[in-house]
This record gives sequence, structure tokens and C-alpha cells, in this order.
Amino acid sequence: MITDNKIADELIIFGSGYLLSDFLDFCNLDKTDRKIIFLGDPYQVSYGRSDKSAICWEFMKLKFGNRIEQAILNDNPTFSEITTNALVCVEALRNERYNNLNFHQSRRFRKMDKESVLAELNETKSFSPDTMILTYSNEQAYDWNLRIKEIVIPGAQEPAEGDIIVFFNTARGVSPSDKSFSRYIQNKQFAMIRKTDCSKTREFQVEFKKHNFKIVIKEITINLFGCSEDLTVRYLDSYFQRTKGFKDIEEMKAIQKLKMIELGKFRTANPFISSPELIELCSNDEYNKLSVKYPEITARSLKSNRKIKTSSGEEQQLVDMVKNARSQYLERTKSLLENDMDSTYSILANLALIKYGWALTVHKAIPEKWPQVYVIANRRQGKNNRAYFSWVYSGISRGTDKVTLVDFQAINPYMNASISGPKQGTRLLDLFMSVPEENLNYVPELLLQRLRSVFADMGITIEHIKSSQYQERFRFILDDNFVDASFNYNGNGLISYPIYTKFKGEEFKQMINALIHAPNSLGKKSWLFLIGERKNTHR
Amino acid sequence: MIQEMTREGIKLTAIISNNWKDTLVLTGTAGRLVVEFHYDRRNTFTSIKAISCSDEEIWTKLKEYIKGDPEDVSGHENSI
Repeated sequence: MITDNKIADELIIFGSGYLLSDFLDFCNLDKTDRKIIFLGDPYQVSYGRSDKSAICWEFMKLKFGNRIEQAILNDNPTFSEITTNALVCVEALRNERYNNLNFHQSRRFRKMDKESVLAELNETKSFSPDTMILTYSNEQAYDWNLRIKEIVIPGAQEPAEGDIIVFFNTARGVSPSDKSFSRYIQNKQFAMIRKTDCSKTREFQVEFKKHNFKIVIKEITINLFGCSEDLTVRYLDSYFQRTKGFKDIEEMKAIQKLKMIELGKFRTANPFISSPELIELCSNDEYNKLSVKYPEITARSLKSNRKIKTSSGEEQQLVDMVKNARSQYLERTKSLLENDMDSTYSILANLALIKYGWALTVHKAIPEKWPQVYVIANRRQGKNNRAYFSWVYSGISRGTDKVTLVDFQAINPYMNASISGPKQGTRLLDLFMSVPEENLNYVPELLLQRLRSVFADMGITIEHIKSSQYQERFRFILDDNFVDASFNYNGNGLISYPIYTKFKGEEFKQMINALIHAPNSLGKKSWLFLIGERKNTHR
Repeated sequence: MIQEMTREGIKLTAIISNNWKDTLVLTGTAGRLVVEFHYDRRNTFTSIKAISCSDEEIWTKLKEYIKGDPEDVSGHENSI
């Protein structure tokens, strides 16, 4: 998926750093009738920002106005059981509802836990190249690779014959039998190890930014998938051992420095002064004439590549001739070293970055598909978001024949809810009034009416003695006895059981309390029933 | 979920909707349950609190539906 993100890393910068813009400049659409069709799936995870992607309609519309058209292909849920389940995620992504996700299990779509997957893999004792384990993080992929390694060759740590590896850069491999034959290996190509050779391990020490880097380079013979011939490649051991996916930039820069040192050494041994380019230049009459005329300029330009101030056109011509010969010399020495596959420079320039190829992150797996995939879905981060849904969708759509979701936890709206039961002691009165917030001043009146309806037949008089914010105080009187009860309520019209502030006569207080807690026991009408009637009149 | 519970004789008798909170009254044959559902902007419930309960059976049933097998939970709207 092409995006217009700025890539600013000096080690991987290419063109202007904006891939999409560079690509469109290259195509130069203004002067032709050509058309570019970008195909993509906006619901899958993307490398760059999805809002700067070539398939983001809003972004492209802003950039090119009416010159672009959009076509959306229809979903085909009947294509396979995997597609049916993948489209569940797409539906959620379209509606931006990330509170519900579950899949139907079937023959081609299974849900398993980690232990049963490991047991299943253990049974076969081998791992088919048609199978891939997909994870969320690079650390998880590293762990799973080690687990599979343990299954394939128990107890072994180092890469061995039969292990599957994957390349993470463009490297160059040489044929072990014919050193003149070499071949470029692309990023994300898979291969099987044929042979390892510990005797060919090289170690280099280099100081970069006051750090001492120990660079260990190992050699293996591999067989690329889809290719018949074997290739020998040298890989960087520290990247192979790294749990993180990205490379150590400082180390890469140190390797770059080491490369330049090697090139420098070679050029010192084969200086420009004695190079064939200069000998050829010396046979040029024009050069000979000018060098005799301007000996000082000639000496200075031969000495170094620095810019030389010239005062005439002839002087400039002389400088340009030397400069031209020098650039040819630099180019030749570099390619000479690069093509000498045993030179240290060539080893460093064609260094492969590899890892075991049994498990990958979904992000890295994106353009590929495998007949059978295991998607490790136990991501620690939040799951109720777009990122997780598009990740799951991308993961399960990698499989063509069989998909197994490992440690998948179905998402439902109640997944993270804490459930708390009614608290004893601070219980709210089992009385519910649906009073709109602006009409909360009805509460004292309603309460008084309700209390009177409960206590009227018993000769108890009720007085409303105090009204403050969200609190009403009533006095229950019978003969000499009285009880002051304070009722609290909240903005929803929920009233709590009262607190008794003052009273005379313990028995009277207990009776009032019992009546408030269980008005039904006295054969009275339900409080809620009455309030329900009142509620309807309010609405 | 509420529709399922209605089949078992529990009725939804009142709702108050506030910001990120719905208060429901569920009435059964033996009593009532006042329960608050708090939810967030992602339409997932953050907490479910029983405020008052005069019939433990309704609360038990509600908890069963909430905690029950997630395979059976499907298609909830944010406001029940």
C-alpha cells in the first residue's frame, strides 16, 4: 500500500522521502493518457498513516480534485467460511462499532487456546512451510519462533539445517559452487537453511559515537522458496538474536562506518595517481597541453577532490577532466570491491537481516497469504478500538484454507464492566420516581403524599419539617412519641432509606422503620404502583 | 438481553438516561431491581451497579445474562 508519509531515516530514505509523490512524479501523468489504478483494502492494517494512503479517497480527492475516481468492490461473504468471518470485522469497521466481535467456529475456522495449539504442533513434530503463525508484536513472534524451533529440533539454539528463515532486507547471495554467480534476495522472501558453517563466522570491532560495537557475521547456505539453486548468505547475528523487529540504527551506522573504512583502505592501496583512469587521461592531448600550461592547478586537482577556484575557462576544463576521471575511479573501486564476494566491504554491503520464518507479525505478513494460519489474538492493549479490529481482520484474511484464532476472547459490551451488587446499609429506598431533573421540587410533595398513604390509617401524623438540597426531613408523631426522619435523594429521583436524627420512644422508631422498609407487609398498595401513576401524569 | 428476560416474567418498568449512564427499573413477580449501567464513548459498559434490590432473583438473572457465555451475547445497542 503506497502512502505519502515522510520517511526521514537516513539509512532508508529513497527519493524525496514521500513515496506516493515520487511515484506520481515518475509516472508523469500530465503528459500522457495513462491511468494508474491503486487497489487496496482500507480496513486492513497499513504501514504508513491510512489517511495519507493512495486508497484514502478524501486524501486523494484533496490532492488531485476531479481527476480521480473511486470504485468499491462488493463484499462476497459466500466466498468461504473465512471470508464470512472476516466480513464480521469489516462490518464493525464500517459502522465504527467496536463493542462486539465474535466468530462462528467451523471446519475452516477454529478457536483454540495456546496449550492445545502447541500440543497439536508437537504431534506433527514438523512445521509445514504452508503454515504461518501471526502475532501482534515482534516480541511475540520471537517467542513463537523459539517455541517452534524447540518443536522442530529440541534443545537447539543456533540456526540449523531445515530451519525456515525470512529476510528483512534486500541482500545478495552467492552460489556456493560458482562464486561468479550471485542473486539478489528480496525483503520478506522465505528460505530453508541447507547448511551452517561456524568456521566462517567473522567478527569486527568498530567504534561509533564513543560506543564499541562488536559486529558478528555468520554464514549459511540456503535454498530460497521457489528457486532451485542454493545460495550462500552472510547475516548479521545481532539482528537475528533481537526480539524487537526494527534494526539498531546505531549499529547500522557503525557498519556503514566500517564499510567506509574498508573502502578507504582499498583506495589507499590503489591510489588515483596510479589508476588506469589517470593513465588514460594522460594519453589525452588536450589534457597534456593544459596540464603543462597550468601545472599548479593540475597538481592541486590530482591531490584531492576538493573544489578548486579557477580563473579561466581552460582552467575549469582541466579541473573537470580530472574530476571526471576521479569519479570513474571511485565508481570502479567501489564496484570492484562490491563484486569481490570475499572482500570485507562486499560482506558488509550485502549483509542479510534474517529471522526465523515460522512466526511473523500481522503487519509484516500483510501482502502474503498462506493455506493455514494461526492468529495469536491475545493482545494486551485495548481491544475496543479500530486498531484491534483491523488487526484481527488482516490476520484472519491471511489464511486461504484454514484459520485458527489462538487465545481469542470474544468482545462484548459487558467485557470490561465491573459489576457491583446492592450495598447493605447505604441501600436506596426501593422506591423509584422518574422525575425529570428540572422538576425535582416535586419530590417533597410526592414523598409526603406517599408517607401519608402508608401511615394515615394508623393515626400517625406526618409533618414536613425541613427541606434542603436533596434532603427532606419529616416528623412522625403518635401521642407523645415522635421520630424525625431525614430522606436523601439524588438527581434521578432515587430516594434513600431515612436516617433518624431525633426520636422519643425506641419502639415507635422501630415500628416506623419497619413500615418504611416493608410497606407491603401491611397490605398497603405498592409504593411503586402509586408512583408509577404519578410518573405517567408527569410525562 | 432485556427482551430475553421479559420472556421470564421480568419487565422493564422505567429508564432514566443521563450522560453516559442509564438507570433501569426491572420489575419481577416478587420485587424490583434498580440498576445503573455506565458506559463509555466506545459503547461498552464500564460498570453495572445495582442500586436497590427487593428481589434477588432478578439481580441473579441479570448477572447471568451479563456474565454468561459471550458466544450468546449479540447485537447490543448502547442504550438498552
